Amino acid sequence: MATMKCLTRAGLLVSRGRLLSTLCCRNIGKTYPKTTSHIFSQNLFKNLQKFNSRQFQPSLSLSTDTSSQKPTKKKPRTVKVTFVDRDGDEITVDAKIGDTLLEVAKEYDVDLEGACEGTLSCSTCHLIVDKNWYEKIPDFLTEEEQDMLDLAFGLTDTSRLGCQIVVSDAIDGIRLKVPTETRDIRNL
Amino acid sequence: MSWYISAVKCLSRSFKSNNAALSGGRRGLTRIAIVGSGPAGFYTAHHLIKQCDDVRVDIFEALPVPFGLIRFGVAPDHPEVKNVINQFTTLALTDRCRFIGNINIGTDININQLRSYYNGVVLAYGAEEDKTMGIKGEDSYGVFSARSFVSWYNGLPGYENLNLNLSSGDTAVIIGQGNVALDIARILLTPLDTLKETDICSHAVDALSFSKIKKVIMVGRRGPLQVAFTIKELREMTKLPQCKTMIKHKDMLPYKDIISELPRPRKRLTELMLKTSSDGRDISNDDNVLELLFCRSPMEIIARNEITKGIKLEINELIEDANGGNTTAVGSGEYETIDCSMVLRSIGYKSRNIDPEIPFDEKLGIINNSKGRVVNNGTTINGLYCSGWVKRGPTGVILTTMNDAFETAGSIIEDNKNGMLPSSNTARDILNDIKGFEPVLFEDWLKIDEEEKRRGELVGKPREKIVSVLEMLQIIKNNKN
Ligand SMILES: Cc1cc2nc3c(=O)[nH]c(=O)nc-3n(C[C@H](O)[C@H](O)[C@H](O)COP(=O)(O)OP(=O)(O)OC[C@H]3O[C@@H](n4cnc5c(N)ncnc54)[C@H](O)[C@@H]3O)c2cc1C
Ligand code: FES
Repeated sequence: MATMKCLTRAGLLVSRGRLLSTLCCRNIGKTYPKTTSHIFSQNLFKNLQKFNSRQFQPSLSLSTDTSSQKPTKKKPRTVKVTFVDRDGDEITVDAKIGDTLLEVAKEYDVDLEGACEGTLSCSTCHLIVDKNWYEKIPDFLTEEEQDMLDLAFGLTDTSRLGCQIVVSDAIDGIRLKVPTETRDIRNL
Repeated sequence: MSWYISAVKCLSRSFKSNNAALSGGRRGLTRIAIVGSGPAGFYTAHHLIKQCDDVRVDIFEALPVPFGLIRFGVAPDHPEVKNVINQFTTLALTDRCRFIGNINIGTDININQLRSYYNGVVLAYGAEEDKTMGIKGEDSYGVFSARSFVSWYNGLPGYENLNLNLSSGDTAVIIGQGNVALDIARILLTPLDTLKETDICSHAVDALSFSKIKKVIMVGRRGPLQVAFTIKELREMTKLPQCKTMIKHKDMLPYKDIISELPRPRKRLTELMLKTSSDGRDISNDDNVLELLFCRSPMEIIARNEITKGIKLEINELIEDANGGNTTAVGSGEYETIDCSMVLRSIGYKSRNIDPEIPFDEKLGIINNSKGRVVNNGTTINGLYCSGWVKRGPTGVILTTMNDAFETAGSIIEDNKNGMLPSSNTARDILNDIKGFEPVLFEDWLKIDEEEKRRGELVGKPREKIVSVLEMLQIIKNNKN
């Protein structure tokens, strides 16, 4: 039977585009820092270059937006999202409204790639939605998403791309599977 | 402490110790060398490092610049595909992974030497050659491999002076119907103003500005149900401004009634081809044209004074095998000739053997392996692995290569758990022993990267690639002084 992993937010106020820089300090040693956002990687570069030339100032933030670091800011609203990972383990997380499911997966270290960073060019963020939830997703399945899904391994009738689904109240409680299939068995 | 300060701290920590990582002395670490810094190399490293705390990885690369076909294959007008570079960059900047460029394994260091420094070596060096058609006249001027054409517009060192005859005629024939063939067709048919804004090399833009090619014919041995390109790439082609995609309606008609029975990806692709197909009457003289031609095999390059004037094709019939699985093309004995000044063969990349110690299957063009473990005459060579195109053959997108790399990394992790990895003979850091060479580290590449972006900015593109290895090394030197 699947074990239940329940993760809670680390108490940090982070918003989209910055969450991965948070991950890199939370999980150092266990995993290495990852990026899904251009903004983050650009800043990462800038800061590393500065550090390299010894002009680095610790007061410089990795993020462009410093407002959310004030502890006074309200905690963003979240809904429950459950991922079933490749080992069959269930991970229920508090997903921030407005984030994509890919961003949620990254934040909570769910094993889901996002090679093209959410630009509909890779299908490494393929998720299989529970049948009774599939129809409830408000984000329309576009022709472009279908084109990309056609390349996904283990494609099912309820497959979606994690980077194309935005967390909202409508999907509070949704359950999604990270596909286990890693071989392309189709004849294409 | 605020999260961002610790983030900066941990980044600086990784950066500082980058050079020292893996150096001798450290006990209890599993040290892995990866040969090749394409997606197979980086994704193998990614999986190993993510799954195991005690693994340190060195990625060796023959060129001074990383990322393999992401840089030298993926088309310049597909920048989104290259976003994966950001992830690889983050990995290379941690203290658990080191990029060592400008070292050719097999030439500068052989596999056995390399193995003596590491517990495991992963061969992920891709496919650097290409298949030939083996037909008369193939050496004529005007016949190019897809690989050299792609390497030319993408700035692979050594290809900048490829002497293409873009202005000697208006028709180019591409042999092959895969995504690489479509990439080439797109580069030949896209309005130059669009291309200029990409990271395509300026030498390619200059040459393409003289191009007279208006029609590209993509030839496939088999029929519409066997095309190898994917739907996204075809749809993009059909939307290209000032260009018509020509698929003959009569070629598609026989499949109209069976489309609904096809598996979803093939079904949607065939539907799009049927929808795009026409009798060709809507094509005006001003349009650029991409034409798909089915059931033809190349027979001979028609040349005058060794200059390509056309190509002779045999018309094929399609035979389905008894269980309906495989469709083969059989020559009908009927031929046709197409006038053209350029022929591009896009029938596949091919891997080579870089070291006689590697059990290489010349016929399949891959390293003999089982789940990424290199196998010689039925016996697994402990501590030697392969990943990516050199393991599976040169097909598939980044996703395919990623899954494949994860499989190899999984095998390494399993072997490590079971104590199957050999111990390395030396505790020395290989960097101390390769003094005669000029290894390029990741921070050196970042200097090249910075310079390329600076040059790009001057002309309104994301980067202007540097195509000379000497110049790359000079930039690194200048930055050190
Ligand atoms: C023209 C083209 C366009 C493509 N476009 C796309 C696309 O848009 N989307 C997509 O998903 N996929 C695309 N692909 C597929 C994708 O590029 C491959 O799946 C992937 O690059 C294969 O990875 P690899 O690491 O096995 O090989 P490579 O990417 O080729 O990497 C091998 C690396 O090894 C290095 N090397 C070789 N020999 C040695 C040696 N002796 N010592 C040290 N290093 C060595 C090479 O320099 C190279 O950097 C494209 C492929 C091609 C050819
Ligand atoms: S991250 Fe590439 S398609 Fe979703």
